[in-house]
Amino acid sequence: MAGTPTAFDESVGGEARTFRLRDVLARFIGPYTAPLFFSWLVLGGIVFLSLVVLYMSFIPFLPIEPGYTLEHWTNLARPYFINRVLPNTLIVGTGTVLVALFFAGPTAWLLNRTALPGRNLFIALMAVVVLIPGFVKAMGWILLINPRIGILNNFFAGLFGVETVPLSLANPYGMAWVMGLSLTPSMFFLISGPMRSLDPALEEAASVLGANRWWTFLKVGLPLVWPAILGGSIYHFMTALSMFEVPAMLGAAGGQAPVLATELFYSVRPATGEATMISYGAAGVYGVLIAAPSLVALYYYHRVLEKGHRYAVISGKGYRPKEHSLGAFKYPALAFVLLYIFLAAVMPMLVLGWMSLFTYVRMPSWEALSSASLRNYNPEYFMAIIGGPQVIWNTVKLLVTVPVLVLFFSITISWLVVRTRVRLRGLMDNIAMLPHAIPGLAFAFSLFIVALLLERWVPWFELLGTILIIAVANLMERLTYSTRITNASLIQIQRELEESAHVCGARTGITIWRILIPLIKPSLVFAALWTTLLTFREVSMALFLSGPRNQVLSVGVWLAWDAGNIGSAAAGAVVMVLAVGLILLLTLPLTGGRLTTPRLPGSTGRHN
Amino acid sequence: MIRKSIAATLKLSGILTVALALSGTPAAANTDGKKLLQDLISQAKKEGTLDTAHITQLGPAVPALKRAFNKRFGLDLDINVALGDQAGKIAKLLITLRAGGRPEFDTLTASDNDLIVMAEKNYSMPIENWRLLLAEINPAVASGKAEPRDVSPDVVGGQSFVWATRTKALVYNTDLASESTIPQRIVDLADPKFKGQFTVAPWTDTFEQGIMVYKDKAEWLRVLDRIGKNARGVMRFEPALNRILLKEFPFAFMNSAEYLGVKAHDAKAPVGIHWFTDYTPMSLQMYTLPRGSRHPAAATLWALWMTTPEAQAIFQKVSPQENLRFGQSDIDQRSIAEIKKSGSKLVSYLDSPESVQALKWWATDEGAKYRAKLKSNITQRQ
Repeated sequence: MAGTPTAFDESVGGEARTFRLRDVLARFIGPYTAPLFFSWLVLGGIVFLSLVVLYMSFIPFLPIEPGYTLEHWTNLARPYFINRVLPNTLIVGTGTVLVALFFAGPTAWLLNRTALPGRNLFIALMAVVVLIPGFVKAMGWILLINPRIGILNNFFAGLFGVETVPLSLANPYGMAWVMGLSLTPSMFFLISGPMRSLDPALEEAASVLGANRWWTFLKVGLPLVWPAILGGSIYHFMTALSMFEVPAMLGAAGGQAPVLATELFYSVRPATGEATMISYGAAGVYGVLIAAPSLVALYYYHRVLEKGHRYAVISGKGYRPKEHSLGAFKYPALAFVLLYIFLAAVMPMLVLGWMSLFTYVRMPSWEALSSASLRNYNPEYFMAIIGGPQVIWNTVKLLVTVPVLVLFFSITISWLVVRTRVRLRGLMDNIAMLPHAIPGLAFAFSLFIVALLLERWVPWFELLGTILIIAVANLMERLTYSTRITNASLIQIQRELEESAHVCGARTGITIWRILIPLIKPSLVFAALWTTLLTFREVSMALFLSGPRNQVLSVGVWLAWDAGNIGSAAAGAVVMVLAVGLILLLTLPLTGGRLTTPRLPGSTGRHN
Repeated sequence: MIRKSIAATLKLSGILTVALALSGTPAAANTDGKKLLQDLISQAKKEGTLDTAHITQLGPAVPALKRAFNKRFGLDLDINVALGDQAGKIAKLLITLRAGGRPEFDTLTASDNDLIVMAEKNYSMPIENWRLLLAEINPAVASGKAEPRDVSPDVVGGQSFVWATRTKALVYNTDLASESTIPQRIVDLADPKFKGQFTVAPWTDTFEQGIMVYKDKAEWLRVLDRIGKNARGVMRFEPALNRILLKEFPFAFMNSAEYLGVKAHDAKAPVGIHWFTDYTPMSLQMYTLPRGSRHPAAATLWALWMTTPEAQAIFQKVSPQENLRFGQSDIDQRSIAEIKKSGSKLVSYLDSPESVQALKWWATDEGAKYRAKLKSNITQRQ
């Protein structure tokens, strides 16, 4: 008769059967259990918060109070909203994507697949562009293009002998221009990973058959990175819909070109004397309205993803990505990249640097230079302006926590979505995209409400006013972008590699850790860097969730600008940009910035 | 002669005795006040921490304020001061307290029209024996230069404490405009001849006090609608001031402290200030303690200490936030003199019982709806 301390007996038809605990567990715990658990943990949180946003749009005030209302929705039927807010929002969204694609597409190819000189530096500068806050770039552009005071306006007016050149950015097209420039690096990084990983054998095959470089790019390279381009376009359309800083700066706050994002912001962040005018219900409505077109776009993105296997290019054979020589085209290509860098990075940095030398904004002139000083860079003064040394420590904690969490959950989700046949994987991927469809600020106030209610029910668990709540908000928000990168990278790896590992007896975890992750390491490092940068400069969620102890640097800089301390804000932005630029240059080799051969464990790295 | 001096002494003694009787027992009150203060300080020591907020303009003054505060009371508190976003903080606080949560801040500053909401909804915590404590902490009150009700007006008595006032005026670029070419009254902003020459701020308190001067609320909304249509756009005070300095447009209606701040940094800056002849709105900036504050003793000390000349001397060095209610500094006296000279009428919510009613009215549903219409007229967001 069988029996052990951990076994129990069951008689079946007179015959005793022994079950061991591990057999029981083995029934319920499989190779997908842990990934499924962690994936649904974060995805469940996303769904819950999204539902809170939706729910808030149907209640008068707080979820714990009785009653429902449609008033927030019926308020939409105003001419102001239908004739101005909605059309402006669509123009801004579409225009932003077009501008970003115009610059990011060619730049991604030039910096990843050609022998363009200075590639590493340009890639670092692309990341630096990200770090410059949107509102600062907007301020710089206002000084450049403004019917009355614009430097470029006055220059062209002088050139053409006219009194003024009526060029202005205070309209949806101007906003799309500035936002498109601002989001180009994001699009660039999204496309770069897959573009770096293209198998040159395919291009060499085309070349052998007589195809020229352009035909090869159009017919071979471009279709292979198409999922990344389409995914990037959808992603940035959603981003543009929910961006607040640039439209507010360029005129939406003044009613000249209101968009959904600014309407949302002002409904949860009242001005002085209007604390009672806060309306989470209206914010919920705007959040849903921003999410709606994004969800439609998401559907089409998913359709592309379903055909992902056609784009697999990384196989079990070794390869080295090929660098194309540009020949005579080198100089126009260089000029194109430099033009973008100038428009998006150099110009704002020059304006930032100039503004940081003064207490109040001064137009560039020799006379103004005589009153310039480095007062805003005085460490004691700077710390006092941004909120004290604790702000720096909070920022460091956030920048370490968020990328680790984001990468962990991204790899988990992407692996299930792209590499397995588990049920509901399509739904999982859609849910991972959901935060990006919903404005970060809507998520933030939803998280705030949930944290508030949690404090009532679980008083020992402190979430409000901590760095953790900002980290959770960023985790949800960044997951979308990171999973696009990990999805796009994993798509390119053929299954034979994993199958070989399983045949040799490797468990799932080992296969992921020792085979998949090394192969997609450049993409993972990009994702981590990008997550860090976006978290570093993110301000609207952090501002809303800020308390006395969890303020971060971006909020300190924003509040300085908001209070009119333009010089201090500019100095803060300069310091942020310099610090991150240095870190990027030091960490670029980790990304394979020199196009080194990606190696499988034990591989010699030679061509087959 | 001796009889006369004895008679005088007796008379003085009698007067003093009556005075003492009428004032209660000041000697005993002083002892009570000292004891109360000592108890409060002991409690604050046990609390060890203070979470509070201040306006961003005073950020550079925060380290000095913390040091001076701790030194004044013999404390070594860990003080966290979050800067900026006053209205956002109050809005979150209202929601937190409404949901039954604990406030993140032990004490925070806001303007009178936000704090009246807290008082009306019983969200502010009244400080017991605040008059005695105030007399111990604020030498201006102890010496009689300021009355307790100057520091904590009756309508929010013992719950909120004034540390500064905000007056609004027209700030203009002297290269683009002069006293004779700018609007003389607030209602003149609706004059078509000033179209596109100014911006308006997105908040309502710039124009709210107009209902106390112009009385007809419906007509005031129409005036504000015309002003909103006349404005070249909506802009906060600080960026508007920057644009004025850059000569993008000639003037804007904003806090006088913005003008004073520019002049403090650059006396030659081409900006001037005009006090409107119909009225000059003044709001009070006050510290309040929300109910459920985690460190109430420390918060009480901070809120009361911020009203003192000592605190004012520190922050006025960094940003010239006036106190036209009971301040005695040079900045305060200069501004008071200039307003008097201009003939402008200073209007605040605490001038009279009628104005107090107006302040309370804003906290009602009707007031909230009116405020929403006022905002949409100013900003032209219908």
